[in-house]
Amino acid sequence: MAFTWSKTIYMGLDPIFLTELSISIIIFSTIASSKKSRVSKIKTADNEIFEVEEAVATMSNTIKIMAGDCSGGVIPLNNVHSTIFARVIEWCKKHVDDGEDLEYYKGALKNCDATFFEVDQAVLYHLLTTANSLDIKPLLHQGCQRFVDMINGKTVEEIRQLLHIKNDFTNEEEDETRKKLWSSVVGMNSFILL
Amino acid sequence: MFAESVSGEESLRQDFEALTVSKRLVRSVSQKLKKKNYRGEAEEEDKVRGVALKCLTLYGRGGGCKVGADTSEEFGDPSSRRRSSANEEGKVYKPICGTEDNNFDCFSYGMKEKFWKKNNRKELELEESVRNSRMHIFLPDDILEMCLVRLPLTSLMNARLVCKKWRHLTTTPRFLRMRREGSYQNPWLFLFGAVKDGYCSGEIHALDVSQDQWHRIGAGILRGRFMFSVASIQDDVYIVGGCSSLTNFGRMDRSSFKTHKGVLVFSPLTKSWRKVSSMRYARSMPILGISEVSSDFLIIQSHQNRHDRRFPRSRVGGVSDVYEDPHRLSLRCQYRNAFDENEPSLLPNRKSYKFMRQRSEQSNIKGCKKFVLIAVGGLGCWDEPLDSGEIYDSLSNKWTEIQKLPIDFGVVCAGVVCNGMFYVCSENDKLAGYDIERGFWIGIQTSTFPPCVHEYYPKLVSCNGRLFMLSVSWCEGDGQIGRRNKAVRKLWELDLMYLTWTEVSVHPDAPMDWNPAFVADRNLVFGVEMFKIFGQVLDFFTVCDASDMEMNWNHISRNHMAHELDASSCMTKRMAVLHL
Repeated sequence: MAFTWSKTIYMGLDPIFLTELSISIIIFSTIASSKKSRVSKIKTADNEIFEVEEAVATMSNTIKIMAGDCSGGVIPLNNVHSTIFARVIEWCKKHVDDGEDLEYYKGALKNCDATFFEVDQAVLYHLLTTANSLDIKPLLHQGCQRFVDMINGKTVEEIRQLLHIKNDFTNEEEDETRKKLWSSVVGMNSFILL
Repeated sequence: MFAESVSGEESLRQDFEALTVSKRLVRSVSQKLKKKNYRGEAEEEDKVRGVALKCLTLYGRGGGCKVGADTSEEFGDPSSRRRSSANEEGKVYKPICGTEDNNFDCFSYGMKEKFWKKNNRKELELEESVRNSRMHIFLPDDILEMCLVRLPLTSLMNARLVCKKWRHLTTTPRFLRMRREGSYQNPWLFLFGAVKDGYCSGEIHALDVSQDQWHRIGAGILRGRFMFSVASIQDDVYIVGGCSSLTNFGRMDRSSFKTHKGVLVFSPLTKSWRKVSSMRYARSMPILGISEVSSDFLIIQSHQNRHDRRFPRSRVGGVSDVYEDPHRLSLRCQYRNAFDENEPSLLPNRKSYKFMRQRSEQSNIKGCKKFVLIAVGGLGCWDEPLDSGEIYDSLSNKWTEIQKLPIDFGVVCAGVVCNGMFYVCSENDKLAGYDIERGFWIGIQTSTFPPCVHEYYPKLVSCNGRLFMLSVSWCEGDGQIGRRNKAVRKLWELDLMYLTWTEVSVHPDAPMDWNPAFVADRNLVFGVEMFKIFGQVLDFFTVCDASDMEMNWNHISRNHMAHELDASSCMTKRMAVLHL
């Protein structure tokens, strides 16, 4: 600091002015650089740090709020694993420009996401819970739709096997419901009304 | 075949070196094969060197490559090839085990490769947690709910049978409301009045419009009843009046019959029936109008206000046909006392009835939805056309008589509620409206009524606050020979402000059925025509979207379901539509 001071005096320039100028240049450059490529740093539960564009990261309302609190620091996500987070970010990157209209996401799965959701159950479950905890509604809606596509049209037994659900109805309860039967003309014999 | 797999590997040298070590181990292990704890050792070494050792011990046992069977998903071609020729390999490997031959090493190359990749700890961690979680149902309830709410009705019904938790989640009022409000519902058509082999079987045919699938619902309670009218609201269908044969129970027989006052309510979602208060007059084929009203709406009050009104009301450009009978003032006193009569006994669902009584006491609480059902006209006990009308209040579960139809109105043939007004039209091409809130009839004078062919009486439907009429008229001849005598069914809309009829669209089917059923729900108008032709009973279902500018008609459900029904079903058929 002393060196610069002496230099400025030597050059005949007012040191105070120069200091102010340099400070404002520093401030400006930080603002400029932060506007150009605002990157959020997110740390997942397994201590991996992701650098994600702010626009993509703030598709998650949770991250948006946390970013406001952390102001530039690393956002910690204590219950999200890095592999799942990576997938979530991949989806967000694809859909960052799609707009806010939730109705668009409530319908059938989008063609561009067809392969994204070709995952096994457990991964789908993780995607859903993560989308819920990070509050990314579009992804949550699409994930739910995928889940529904998985079980739609299946018989009761098929659903149980697919999702490893134990049948906890007693025989009497099941018989009671099977009595109230809508018989289908076209042969969907598993259609039962409670 | 082994060479192929080897050439595909990248870190061949690395594996080769590692394998020299494993060969030594193989010898030592094969020597320990007889020991019972050989497996434990093998597993220990596994963690260090991947699965190579494990597979070799299995070879040692001579059972072929069993490891491939477990991990074939990860391996793709090489292991599957191996699996298919397992026996052969076993023979090859058995003597090899323990020697320095390189053949079996190739197999372990593949294994090692994959396992080096798998050694990425992160992946393993996730996989473990994934595997563990598969054991439990760990999807949180609220997310599960979000998923189940999207299911169409048929799948939802199946979902309810999966386990107790799913049944609970999908039957809460909150879930049902979420489903209703989230527009995850689809239209369902319910066809009543099917006659088979001369019997009014009481069977209801339900069409899932979105899937184009028919379902049959047995309804023994309706057996023998015909010529009733139906109206649908929210999740229920009301079946009003009708006749039953006295001599031939169950048969469609008009020679000796009794006319009903009773009103039944059918809930398709729970496949349950309940009986509500009966009408004041027995009616067959009454004209029904059903509408939601605010919970503050009180029928008795509107009647008290009525006799204060002295001037006949009229709509723009018309002369009122309101009919005041001073004689009825005394009758009204009688009816007022009758309001306190006890309700008739109900079928199994007593609980819901009690619930309804409690609700009516609390009807002052805002937000409580209720509706009214109006029944006018129809045929009485001796088949005489009736001009009386009555209104039903869902909260108080009571029928109240309303003002009679205007004196020269004629026989009412169709009616629908639109914007708080119950519009009816008569066989004499007259239109009247019953103001539900204020409780009186208004004659409505419109521009030229759409022309009607005799006996093909018009039908009224309403959707999105618009009033439509379907009427059959003769085709205007364009001068073309043969066109003059052609009849066509047209859809007309009444402009409620200026009271003019405009033609909207033409129905694609030739009007073969003089008693079609047209119903509307939200923005869709459904129609069914049924008639016997060439010895067969055919049915034609059509739908029209009111939000579509041109309101074109489309056919739905081309697989005829009526072929097993009697021709008399054409006359007795009734249709209701619900969004379920």
